Amino acid sequence: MADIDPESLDDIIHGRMRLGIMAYLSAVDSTTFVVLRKHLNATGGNLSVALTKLSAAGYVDISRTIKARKTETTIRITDQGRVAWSSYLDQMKRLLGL
Amino acid sequence: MRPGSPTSRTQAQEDLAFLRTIAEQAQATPPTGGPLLLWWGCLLACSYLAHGAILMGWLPIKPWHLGFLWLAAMIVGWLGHTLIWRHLQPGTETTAALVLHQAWLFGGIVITLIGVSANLRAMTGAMDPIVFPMFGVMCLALYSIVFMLFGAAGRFAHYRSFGVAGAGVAIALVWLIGSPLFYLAVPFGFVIAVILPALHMIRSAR
Repeated sequence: MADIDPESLDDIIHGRMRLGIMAYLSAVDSTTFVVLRKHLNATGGNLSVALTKLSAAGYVDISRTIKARKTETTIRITDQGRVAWSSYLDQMKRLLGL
Repeated sequence: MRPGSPTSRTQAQEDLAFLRTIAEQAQATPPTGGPLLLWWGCLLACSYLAHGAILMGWLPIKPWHLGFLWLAAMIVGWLGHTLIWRHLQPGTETTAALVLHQAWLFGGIVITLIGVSANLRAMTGAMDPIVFPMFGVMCLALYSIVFMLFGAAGRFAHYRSFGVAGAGVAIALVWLIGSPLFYLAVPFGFVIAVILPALHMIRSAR
């Protein structure tokens, strides 16, 4: 069984939580922090750290609005994030010989 | 498969399977607009019942007041819509749900404007009596088209079934136009084509 060189993969995306976030966001137009936390079975802290890293790289856009006196955090993948995600999947498939 | 640690093909395959599951779950997320759909379905069903009751003389209101009934229904409808929308639990917006919400909103605005226009004509006495019944048929047809679009875009077979049911009800109702039964049948149509899908949507969004 051949080993895969992780250095060839995008380090910002590569990581279980960030992978999950990117996979989820790539399939939808937008989501909320609460929904994402529930779907990924993550703690608020872990999700927040992962989102901050993806946001700093410009892969996701996080916006906060106030609706019915509650803060609503909306997250969506950016165009740059979609390109990075597509490239990451291509690399994965290439490494797996798919 | 972690950076700096030995990784295997099996692990990469597991990661890909994980990603696929997450993406599929995301795409299958139900829309959040169920309460809005329920609100409009109930309001229109009740308005048609009231319309029928007035025509049959069950309510002590003169038929020429029907225009006011519908204007009031539209105003109450949009006020309720705004109130519910403000308190609607935010969720995931899939592309299919985006299509659904936009079609509802745009369709709702167009239907309202047609309703207002029809009312103005009714108040000037220049209205063909077929317009009010056709308004209900058009609403049901709109709902069925939107459900068909949503079912196709999101690959939700049950929403396509709701769409087919709605279209069937709308077509069947045309045959009742002119009969007093029409106004009793329209609310039944709204239950099948709007209220039941709305309840399904609310339940699946929980």
